[in-house]
Amino acid sequence: MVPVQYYLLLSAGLFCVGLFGILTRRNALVFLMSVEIMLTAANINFVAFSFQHGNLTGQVFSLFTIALAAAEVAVGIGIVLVLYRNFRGVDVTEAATMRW
Amino acid sequence: MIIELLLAFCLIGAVVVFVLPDEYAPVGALTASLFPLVTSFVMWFGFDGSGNAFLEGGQLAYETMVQWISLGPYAINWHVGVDGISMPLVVLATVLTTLAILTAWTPIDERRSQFYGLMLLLEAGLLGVFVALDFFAWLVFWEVVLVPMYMLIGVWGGPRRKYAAVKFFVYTNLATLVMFLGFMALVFGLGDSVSTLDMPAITQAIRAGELGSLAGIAPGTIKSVAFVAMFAGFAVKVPIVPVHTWLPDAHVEAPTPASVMLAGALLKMGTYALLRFNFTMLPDVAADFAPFIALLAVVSVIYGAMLALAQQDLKRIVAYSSISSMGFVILGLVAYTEYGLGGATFQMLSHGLLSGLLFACVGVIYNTTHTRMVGDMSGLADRMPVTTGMFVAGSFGYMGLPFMAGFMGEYFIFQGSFAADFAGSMVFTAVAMFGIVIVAGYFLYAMQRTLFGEYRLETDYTVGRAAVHDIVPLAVLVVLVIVLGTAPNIFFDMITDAVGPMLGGGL
Amino acid sequence: MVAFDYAPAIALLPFASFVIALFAGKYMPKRGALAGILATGGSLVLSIWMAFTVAGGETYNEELYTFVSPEAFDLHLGILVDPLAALMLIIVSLVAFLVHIFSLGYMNDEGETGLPRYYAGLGLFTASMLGFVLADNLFMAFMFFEMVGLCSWLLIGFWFRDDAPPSAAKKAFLVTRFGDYFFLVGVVGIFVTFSTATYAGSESFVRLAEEALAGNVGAVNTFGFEPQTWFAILGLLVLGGVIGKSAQFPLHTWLPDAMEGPTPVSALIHAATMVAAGVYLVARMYGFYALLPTVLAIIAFIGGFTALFAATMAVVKREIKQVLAYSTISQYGYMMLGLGVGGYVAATFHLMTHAFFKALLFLGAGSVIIAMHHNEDMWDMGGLKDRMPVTYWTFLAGSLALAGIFPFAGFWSKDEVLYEALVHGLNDPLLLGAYAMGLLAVLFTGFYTFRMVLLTFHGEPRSETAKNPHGVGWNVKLPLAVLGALAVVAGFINMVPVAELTGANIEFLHKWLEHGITGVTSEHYGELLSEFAGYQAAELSPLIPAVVSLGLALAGAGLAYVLYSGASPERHTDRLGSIKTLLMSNYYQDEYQVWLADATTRVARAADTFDQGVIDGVVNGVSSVSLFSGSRIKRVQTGVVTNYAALLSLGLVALLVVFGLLGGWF
Repeated sequence: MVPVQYYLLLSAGLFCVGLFGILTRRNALVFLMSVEIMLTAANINFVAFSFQHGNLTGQVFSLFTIALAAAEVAVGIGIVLVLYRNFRGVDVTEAATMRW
Repeated sequence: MIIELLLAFCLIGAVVVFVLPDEYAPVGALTASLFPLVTSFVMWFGFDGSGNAFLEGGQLAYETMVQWISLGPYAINWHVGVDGISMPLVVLATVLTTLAILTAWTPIDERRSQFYGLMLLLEAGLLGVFVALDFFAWLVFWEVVLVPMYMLIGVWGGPRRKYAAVKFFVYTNLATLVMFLGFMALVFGLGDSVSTLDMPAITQAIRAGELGSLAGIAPGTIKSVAFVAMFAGFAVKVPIVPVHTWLPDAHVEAPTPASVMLAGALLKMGTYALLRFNFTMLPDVAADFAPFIALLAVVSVIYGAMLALAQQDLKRIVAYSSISSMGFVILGLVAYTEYGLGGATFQMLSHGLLSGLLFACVGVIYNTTHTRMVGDMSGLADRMPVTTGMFVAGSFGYMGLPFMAGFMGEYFIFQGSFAADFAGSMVFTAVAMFGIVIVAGYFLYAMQRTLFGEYRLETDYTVGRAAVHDIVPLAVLVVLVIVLGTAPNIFFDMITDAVGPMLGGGL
Repeated sequence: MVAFDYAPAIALLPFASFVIALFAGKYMPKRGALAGILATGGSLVLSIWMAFTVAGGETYNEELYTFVSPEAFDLHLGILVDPLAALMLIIVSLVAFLVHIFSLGYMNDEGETGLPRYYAGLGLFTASMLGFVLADNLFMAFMFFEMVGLCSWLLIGFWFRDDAPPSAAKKAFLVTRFGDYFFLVGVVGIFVTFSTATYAGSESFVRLAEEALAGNVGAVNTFGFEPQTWFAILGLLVLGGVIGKSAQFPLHTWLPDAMEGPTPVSALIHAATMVAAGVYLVARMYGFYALLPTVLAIIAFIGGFTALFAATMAVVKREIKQVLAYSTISQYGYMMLGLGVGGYVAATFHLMTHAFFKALLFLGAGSVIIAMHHNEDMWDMGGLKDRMPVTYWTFLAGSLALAGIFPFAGFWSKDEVLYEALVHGLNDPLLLGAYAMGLLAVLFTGFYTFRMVLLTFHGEPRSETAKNPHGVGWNVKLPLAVLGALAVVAGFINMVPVAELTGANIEFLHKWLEHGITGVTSEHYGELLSEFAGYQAAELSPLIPAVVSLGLALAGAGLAYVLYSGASPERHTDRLGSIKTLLMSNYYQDEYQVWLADATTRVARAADTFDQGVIDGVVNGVSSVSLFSGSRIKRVQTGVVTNYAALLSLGLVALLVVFGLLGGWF
């Protein structure tokens, strides 16, 4: 049996990849993908702990998360489209009108 | 149950009036305000309480006590009731609300239903402050009052209404925070000896000496710090010099009915809370600080009156004179004698009626002339004889004319504080009394300049008599002031009955 | 006694007329005058009934209505009817009654507007004064004292459409309020000292003070002072109110200005209400003042000085009412002098005779003013003697009384005041000084009185209106006739020199004031004066001082006759030069008081600037600082999502590190 630490390391790694994407990229689509990666990291955690504790609750939660991620993509793509329409591009740093 | 009914009438009335169409709002609000008015009179006539609500042996009238929320180690109860101190104030609040709604008929011509709804919500908050005996409920009502007043000033106010409304809200809310911290220090200092936020229980525990040390701080220090924090918090509401500057701005910008409520009832929350918290819970600290508080009171009286003397805006004159009059209340409180405390409570009533009357008078004049500046008009007595009569009556009442409520309140206070226990009470009292000369100075000046002389005011319409519904609240207030000044015992008896037990312990 | 059951009605009747005139006056035929006449007439009848009952040896001292009475202090309304009060009641109600009748001629017939307000004011004025006279305690007295002040404000400012009357009304109220401030402190002080403020009876503060000074301090709290010192302070505080209302130096300045009111009101203010209230108050609590030699000396000195001071100013005035106003101040100075030197009966006597002849003079002046179409300048009059004989002869009677010419009323009373001052002054040089000033004032009084009479009624008419004066009706002549008769005969009730000379038992007023409630009689006051104040009367026949003062009065009158009796008299006062300017400017008393008021206003403005600038400045400063720091810190919100994400991550990391450090993970 693979110890839970490996799963956690994988999850942390995925999370960092996602975070890195969010912090460095300006393209909204890449943003969305990075968020998905971070959600996947959370899912892996859920499943890993669920396996560890012999309890299915975590896996149920990961199902919820996947559904949520799907919904999020739908909304996210919509936002990206609006972004494109209003700013003639998908660069997130352009859309900085909602500040102070 | 009658207290819940009282509050429910206000709240239901507020909701109903809020959704009424604008043209029915004035009459609807008046009708709605009659329910709490009648209820409060029923309460008054059936009043059977005795003693002080916060102290042992106090028999409350119309008491309700049910467990409400349980919060950690503290139980929060729905505990309401009235005693001889709060009963008169409840009546004052309901009477003033009804009259203030009448004064709104002429000047308020937009968003009427919202305006009257807020007035009724304000009334609910005020009544709640005077009847609540559990700190949690009390604090909720205390804060609820701010919201409608903020909107009344901010939406229907004068040109600088936003500044005034924000200043009012932030200033008093910040003060509440300070007060809250002070009170919580006491609650935590009491530790396990109380398990509720019930104010009578807390008071009795403190007076029984059950205050322990908190985080290594001795009980005596906690008491002093809590006293100062609560005093500072309530002082803003009263207001006492030097934390008074929100008041004139708020009054000048507020529409007439809001001014009537602000001066008449809202300021009384501050002195009421001082009486209930500082002077009932911590009388021994109050005695230590007495000369200092008396000094603040005297400064409020004289300085407030001097400021009023320098004003040209009628509303500012009345606003500053409120500071002066509330200084007398503080002097009475700090005297801590039967006449002092009783007189202070009585002065709250008389000032509520008199300042309400004067603000309403100024409002009527403003409705007609569209100016409040002393220099802009003269000889109004020529065109508005009845309003002038009311203004004269109100001004003389404010100056302390015998057989009017103001004289009685002030006399009781002087009588009580002249021989009070703290050092120099005689000198403080004598100096404060000089306020009655200054107050005569600026009211006589204002009356001479605006009401008398040759009629002079440039308008493109004819200035005539005020409408009947403008005069009615003035007349009612004048009558009430005279009745209260001629027969002070209708309230003074129950007031002294309630303040009597305060003198027993502590000092 | 059944009579005393009606005592409250004496004050309540005029109060009823106030209510009627105020609310129903405009629907009534004479605009409220009839109600006032009936009410004051009723008060007069009741007062006379009281006097007869008191003459029968009965007195009344009862509590009627309690305001509040917790613990020690008992604030109540009560009624004290004794010889002094009964005498004063008659004076007040009589003068008020005649003033109401006179007003029919002065106000109604002249077509004034606002009459309901006028009669309401008169009614309330009378009611307040009667309430003051009936008061059985100092608290009640203060209440009515203030009400009297309110009424004076209402009536002096009656013609509110002009500028001067409202201003004069304001001044009158404010100056007397200044005095009342001290009075109020005194009342509060007396309450906390003695726990009571009643005048008469064994529990009264007067009696308690007497016992305290005799060594039996009991429950009297003197706050660590010697009883003598503390009582003197209290006495002086109450005296502040007296000085304000009775227009004594230095608070006399309101009274000449008060001439802006309608003339009948002036008559009421000067003769029977308001100004009389101060002196009556001292007489009422004389048992207290008699214990305090220092205060008595101050009263005497203020009185003597005011008498002389005001008389000199009256010499140069042009308006008839101004002369009378200053004469009022001067005459009340005599009363204060009388009280200060221990002449309680003499002062009361002068209070009474003065009420009659001053009411007469004012109503006479009112009659002249009607005739002159409201021109008050004496230099425009002249020759009115033949055109209005009733006014002339009655006015002359009043003037003779005012000047103190034998045998008119003023002679007897003023002479007795001066006699008392002299006999006590011979043992006390301080009082002798007061006497000297009072005596000198007699000369001036004689002069200005006859200057006024001669300029108004004698010589040739100096203006068109004076040639064809407006006629006056019965309602003007009747009050003049009644008061004229009284000005002649009122002095006969107390002819001390004659009694001394003939041995006849005719000092009726002395007898009248000797009986009454134990402790508030003139006899008892005499004992107190010699026991506590150390007053000793020297042996002296009343004849010589009487002759001296009569001689001085005649000299003054004679001088006036020499100077002003011609057909068209010259303005001799112009020859006084700068002294005239000084006197016309009232010794610049108004100026310094106006300066004081202005200075107060300047201080107020400075306080306002301070308040707006510093105190509110701090408040606004706090808010500015918050707003400014907010405007800087909000720059963190860049609007770039990436930055938020970075901050979030950093924050999380920072939190983890902090928790880690605190939790000991490392």
